[in-house]
Amino acid sequence: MTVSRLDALELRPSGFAFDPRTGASFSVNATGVQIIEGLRQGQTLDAIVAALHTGWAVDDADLARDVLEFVALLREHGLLDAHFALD
Amino acid sequence: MSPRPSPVTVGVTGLHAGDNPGPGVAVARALRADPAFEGSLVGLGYDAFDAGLHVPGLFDRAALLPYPSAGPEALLQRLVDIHEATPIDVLLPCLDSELAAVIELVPQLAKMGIHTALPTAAQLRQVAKLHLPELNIPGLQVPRTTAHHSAASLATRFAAHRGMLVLKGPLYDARVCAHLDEGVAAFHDLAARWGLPVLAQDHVDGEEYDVCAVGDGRGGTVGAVTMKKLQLSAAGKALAGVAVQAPVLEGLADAIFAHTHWRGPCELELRRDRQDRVHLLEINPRFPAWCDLTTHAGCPLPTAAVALAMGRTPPQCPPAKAGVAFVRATLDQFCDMGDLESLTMHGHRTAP
Repeated sequence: MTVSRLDALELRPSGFAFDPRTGASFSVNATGVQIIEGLRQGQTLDAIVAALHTGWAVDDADLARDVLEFVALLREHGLLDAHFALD
Repeated sequence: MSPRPSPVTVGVTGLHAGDNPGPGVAVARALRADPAFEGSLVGLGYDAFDAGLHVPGLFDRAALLPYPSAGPEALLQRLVDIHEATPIDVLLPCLDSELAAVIELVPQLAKMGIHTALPTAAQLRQVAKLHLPELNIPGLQVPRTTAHHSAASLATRFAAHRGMLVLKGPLYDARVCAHLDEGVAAFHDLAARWGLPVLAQDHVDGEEYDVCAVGDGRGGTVGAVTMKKLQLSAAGKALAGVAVQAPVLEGLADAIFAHTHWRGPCELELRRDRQDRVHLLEINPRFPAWCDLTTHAGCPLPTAAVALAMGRTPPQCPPAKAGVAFVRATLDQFCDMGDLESLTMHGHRTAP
């Protein structure tokens, strides 16, 4: 699993993120921060969903779909390798 | 502990500072912001309304130069006069249009005790827009660039390229043109403003990065800092930018310096396309107007250029701190009519 650009991302507690290699900046909400940190730790989809589930009254299938959509967004911005897949 | 170098007096040009500022104010501010720089600054403008001449606390003395069109002799005579009143140790010319004349005067300036960190005339020609493909640096693409002395020749150029072209003045200014009609209008405007030839460069789609770097004249790099533009003016100039980690791009500066033995500052304008290929759009043979970012990001290149000019070993420039950003401000500077009178009638003024 390649998450090197995500690892390099300077992620502030506020959700402001800066990519020191490209100069791009992003803003993510608290859920996005949690997903990014999960990805950086090499967590699986199930583990990320389980961690999010404790905070939200949403079923796992919806959460998993939202996480994968977010992962697709990270790929689109080049922060994850184009071939990255979350197991 | 090595002794601190003796203070130096540095003359800085390029002090117009309106919506498209010259680099001089940034160079002076970078020197003022660097605790390692000890010395005084002489602002060298071309017009009493050059805003840099009126920035409080920036220059210890301000004086006017003849416009570059007056030629090297007129420039030398004026520098002799200024040097008699305020001896200058280092001259940092910051405008493309004055470089050829200053380079021609380097031997005379050296005899006067005015040191410079400049390329040779041959090196200056090597990095001219039309000669960039001849650099032939591995890993570096150079968009096709052609010279045009009449708008009529643009028709075949547009037909052959089948894409957007960037029309450029010989030294300044650029317009992105999607079709021939735009190209013809831009040609006449650029020719009227900046003269001929007008250059037509293939447009490259991608992210723009600029590298400010100083070469040591022996094939080495004193330091290099990469900036990503965050906000653009209508003319494509950076209104905001941020220092980034870009060892690959800074490595291109190393390769260009190794090839040319460039001495002094320059700016590489680069574009990285979607296939991650890097294209060299142009090399500006002087500091850019954002060069004070280098000092704030921990790699003070203007101070290094002063040291290089003085024949001292430039301070070690570490990699720039990524994430240090700038947001450009256009400020009104206040002065008295007496200051404008002094500059207009006597060619100099005291510290603003």
